[in-house]
Amino acid sequence: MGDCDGCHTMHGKDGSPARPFLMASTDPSSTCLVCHSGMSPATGHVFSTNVGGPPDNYTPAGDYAWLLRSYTWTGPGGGVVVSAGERHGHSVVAYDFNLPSDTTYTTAPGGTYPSASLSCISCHDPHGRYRVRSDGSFASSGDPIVASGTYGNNPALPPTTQTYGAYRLLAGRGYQPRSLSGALSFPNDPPVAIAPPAYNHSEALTDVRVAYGSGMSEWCANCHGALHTPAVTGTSPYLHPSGARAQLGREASIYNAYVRTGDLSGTWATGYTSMVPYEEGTTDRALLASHASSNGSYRIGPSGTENVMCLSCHRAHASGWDHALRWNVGADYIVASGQWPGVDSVGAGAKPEIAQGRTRADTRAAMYDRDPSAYASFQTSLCNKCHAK
Amino acid sequence: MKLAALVAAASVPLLAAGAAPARAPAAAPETPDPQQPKLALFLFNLSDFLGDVKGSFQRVAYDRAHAEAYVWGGRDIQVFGGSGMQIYSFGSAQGLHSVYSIAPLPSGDLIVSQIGPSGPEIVRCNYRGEVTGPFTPTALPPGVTLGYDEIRYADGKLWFLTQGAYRVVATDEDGRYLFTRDLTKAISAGMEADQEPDTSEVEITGFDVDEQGNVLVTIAAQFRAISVSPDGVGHPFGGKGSRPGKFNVAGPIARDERGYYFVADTLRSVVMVFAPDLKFLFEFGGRGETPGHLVIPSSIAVGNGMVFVSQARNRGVSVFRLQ
Repeated sequence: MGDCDGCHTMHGKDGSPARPFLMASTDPSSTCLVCHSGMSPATGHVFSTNVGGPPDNYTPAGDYAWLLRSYTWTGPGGGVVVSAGERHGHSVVAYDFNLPSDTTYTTAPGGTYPSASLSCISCHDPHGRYRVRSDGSFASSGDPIVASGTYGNNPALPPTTQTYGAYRLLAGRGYQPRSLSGALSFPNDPPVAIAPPAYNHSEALTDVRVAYGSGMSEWCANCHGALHTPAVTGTSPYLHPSGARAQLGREASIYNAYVRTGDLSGTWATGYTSMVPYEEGTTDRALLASHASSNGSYRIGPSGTENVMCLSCHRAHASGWDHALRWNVGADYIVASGQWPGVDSVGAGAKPEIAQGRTRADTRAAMYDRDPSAYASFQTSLCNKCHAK
Repeated sequence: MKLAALVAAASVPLLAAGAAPARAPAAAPETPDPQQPKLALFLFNLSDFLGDVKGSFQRVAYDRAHAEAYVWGGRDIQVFGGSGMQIYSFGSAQGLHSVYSIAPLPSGDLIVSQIGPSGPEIVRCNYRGEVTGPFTPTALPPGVTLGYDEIRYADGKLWFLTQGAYRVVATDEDGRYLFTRDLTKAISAGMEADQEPDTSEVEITGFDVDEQGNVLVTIAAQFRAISVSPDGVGHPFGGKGSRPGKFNVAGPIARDERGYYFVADTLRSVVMVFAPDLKFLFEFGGRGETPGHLVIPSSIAVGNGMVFVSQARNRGVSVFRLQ
């Protein structure tokens, strides 16, 4: 947590008028990104300013620079197909970083949160008021926050007179940025989750495993409520299940067995992949802390009581694919001829409908620097991790 | 890295562990410079025949010998002459990919690091930007590799920074290994005794090398800049704060041939000028839309009395003259 003058300026600078809320930068997200961006990947960076190459922050939530990468290709009918940058993630408004508001959605899909007001502080409480109490409940005031609640490097819960911060400073019940008018406060508290301290690195060798515990999808529903599993089954058009009522069940055995297309020889002991994470269905922070890892030390897969969540398929910030999906569901293959698809690929991977305007380097970065040999030579969608037939 | 340690690093007397007190880096002028700059006058933005050349977070290098500025932000590199007009461009047509860093050599050749189809690589280009072959180091000790994050040519050597290792490797122009400069001790100076800097958290934000072989870095998480002299001793300056001479978010750094330091604060969007003895002199820029103001300065190059500052918000590269 920085000092006040890390984000606010009291009287404006150099004769320029003070900005709303005395922000030091043009808008809230631009202020955040001054610190949380950089030419090279680093802890805390969520926006790559290396504008030449593909975004290279491999955080679990993804790199917002994907919002600035648009791709076009020729479709089967000869028309131009576009994968617009703004479709690659949450279109946070950060004018200094060339991030405008979404031009397609005026409000959050499945909700009414205005796109023009979407910023980092829509989800993260910049003042970090939300905290975990000694009984595991959340509050926005009260006993002092003595440590981060994001990493599992403290005792599981604080003593009675102290609290931990909420996961990633995520906001909770009753939260609404002061800059946002209307009745849009969050109905749900932050999720319970634990991340490994080293979470921004290539996944070529080992996965970054965030141990999601509970409440993740319910928290997304703060803005995207209508996309969430209805309280009463059958009361809305079919939606992919997610959240506390969406246990993996029998799909867990498929998850564990699935290694790649045509290979169902996987085991429970090594079944996990961060490309398709799930929620463990627990609030036990000590247990979650023992599962969070970034060195491959814990690869055990699900047993069936875990939950599908929004983040099983989507990244929270952005990804290289439409709808912030973790992999490309819009192509027949995510690996073709043993290569990442790309306009510079050879063979099937160079076909426009497979490469989809990306280079192999773009695709590799979107797959978190994995080698294509991690998958089958002709690898199909990772939907099969749960639904292989 | 604990926050307390970072704050401690920024606030304690800036001494290297067991080292002499902070002093002016080696070879700094000992007599006052009668031509000491007092302000930086905004001249123009780098332009082509259509007007200002737009761009965000571009990187800029300045070839003092030929008075040419190189600006890149991807596959295409633009070259600007002394009047600020684009005189040449090259890049993908010459076989380059996603360029990270460029070091112009006195011969006119360029050493370029980039992400090629098979990963990071360093290549040599001729003065037209045509790739003439890989830059292959020789006589590297076991375990030593050339970093591709930043490349500089200074003090007659090529300097390669490996961001995650606090290490700079120097070679000659032909790639013959000369030495490795470990920055760990200098960066950890002033931190708590049991703290080693965690390279994943304490990122080198700005980097340059001066003509005396001092390696210059900024560490935003420590709110300071450090000049690491050839003997490995760090000379920190700046410190945490919002007032001139202090850093909110320390950004790019550069040093000109007369020994003056230029360090940007990316939050306040200013460039601060420090004397060779590390004393703060003045700042210029400031957040704003009008000419002469800056928005998130992201790269600095200096030389021949000129300062080139690239920015965010599609504002391209602004050029200032020291007076």
